[in-house]
Amino acid sequence: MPHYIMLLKQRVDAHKAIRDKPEILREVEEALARWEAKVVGNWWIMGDYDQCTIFEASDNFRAYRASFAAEIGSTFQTEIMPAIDIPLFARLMTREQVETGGPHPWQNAYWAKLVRLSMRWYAYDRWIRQYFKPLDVRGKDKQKSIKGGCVVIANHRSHMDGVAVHGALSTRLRFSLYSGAAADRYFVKGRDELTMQPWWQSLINGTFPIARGGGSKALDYPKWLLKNGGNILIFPEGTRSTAKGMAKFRHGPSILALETNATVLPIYLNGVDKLRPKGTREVKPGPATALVLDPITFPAGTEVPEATSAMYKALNEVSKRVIEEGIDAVKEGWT
Amino acid sequence: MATYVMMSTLTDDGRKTLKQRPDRLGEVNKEVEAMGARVTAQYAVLGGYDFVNIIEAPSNEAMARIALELGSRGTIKVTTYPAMPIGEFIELMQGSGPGGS
Repeated sequence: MPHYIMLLKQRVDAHKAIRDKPEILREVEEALARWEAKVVGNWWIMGDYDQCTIFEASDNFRAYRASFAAEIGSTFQTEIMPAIDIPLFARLMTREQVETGGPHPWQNAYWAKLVRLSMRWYAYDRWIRQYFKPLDVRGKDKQKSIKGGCVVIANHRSHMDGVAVHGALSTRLRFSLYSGAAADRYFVKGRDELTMQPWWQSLINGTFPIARGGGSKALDYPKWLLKNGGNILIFPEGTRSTAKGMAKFRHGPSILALETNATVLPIYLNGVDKLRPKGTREVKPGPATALVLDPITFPAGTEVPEATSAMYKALNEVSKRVIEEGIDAVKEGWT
Repeated sequence: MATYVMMSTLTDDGRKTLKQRPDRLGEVNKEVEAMGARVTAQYAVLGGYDFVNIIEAPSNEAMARIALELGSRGTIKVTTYPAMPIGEFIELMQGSGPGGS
């Protein structure tokens, strides 16, 4: 999730209000939360500015919209700066020197699928066995009705989500399942480790490279896979979310499904973020649940925003129920 | 430890150095730590500054030394603001001492 630095300066007429009722400074955090922005740090500072707030938001528009909330605007003048964390910034600085490999269309050949099947334990299933205690998959039968290409979507809060989705899918869907991975992280040429070779990523993990900032061109390859019998796993929130509920969905999954006439299979994951929360490297064993929801098919003529909205609604309704009532309250009839 | 928000802007020399040696970014943090402080958050930003750092340092004097050391290389211009978590500031404002009303 992108970070933003907001510098706030008190309006002159707000001094008295803050002195009389300093709690109103908390309203900045509440106003940001209403617009799905999450405050990660908030300091009162001495100098040219009065407050420095670091928050996460899904995109620039949301960040700026959040800063226009009435509580903030009536008390402060604001300045927002989009922020990039330093490790990513350092990688971007060296990007032109980094040569990446892939995509490898041969990964969709039958022989490649057989190799992947034989290595499935190494790439995915051993992690499920080791860390998911247990992985409770509900509604797995719903996948039987899917014919042809399928776009699997899921909420995203942890690096372990991809593993959980693999554990929730039928053998048939997994046999031709592919997912995107950052090109400048997983498809860099010249690394020493065998498992970090671009061909290994394509062959064993079933991933394909996604260039940062690649725009709609990034969808060309997954579109080709879908048209050639592949299934695509994609997280519509775009990145691991730390928002309480679902973050805003991007349109990529809708474009893929509409242009290839693929079925969308939503899966709601619960508890995976406790195994490995965002920002940590350590994985702790624990229970997790995957709710397989009803597959969605779109009639001809469906517009992209309409499809995105339908996908969001499907996952968000379950997300809200889980947050309000707990995962066990949605044992039956979650769709 | 006190908290400080340090905003920095690259000079022309700084841009050249960073382009040639992006790994310098990580080295600066180690140098700050060697002076008794700790960088708790660090971002490259778009806007009026190039970087925003949240630093914990033992005192104003220690922070002033760090700012001077970093600025003396001619690669960045720094502006440092003393900061306190907003919750502590609210408590301070609600208190009955000189900081309260």
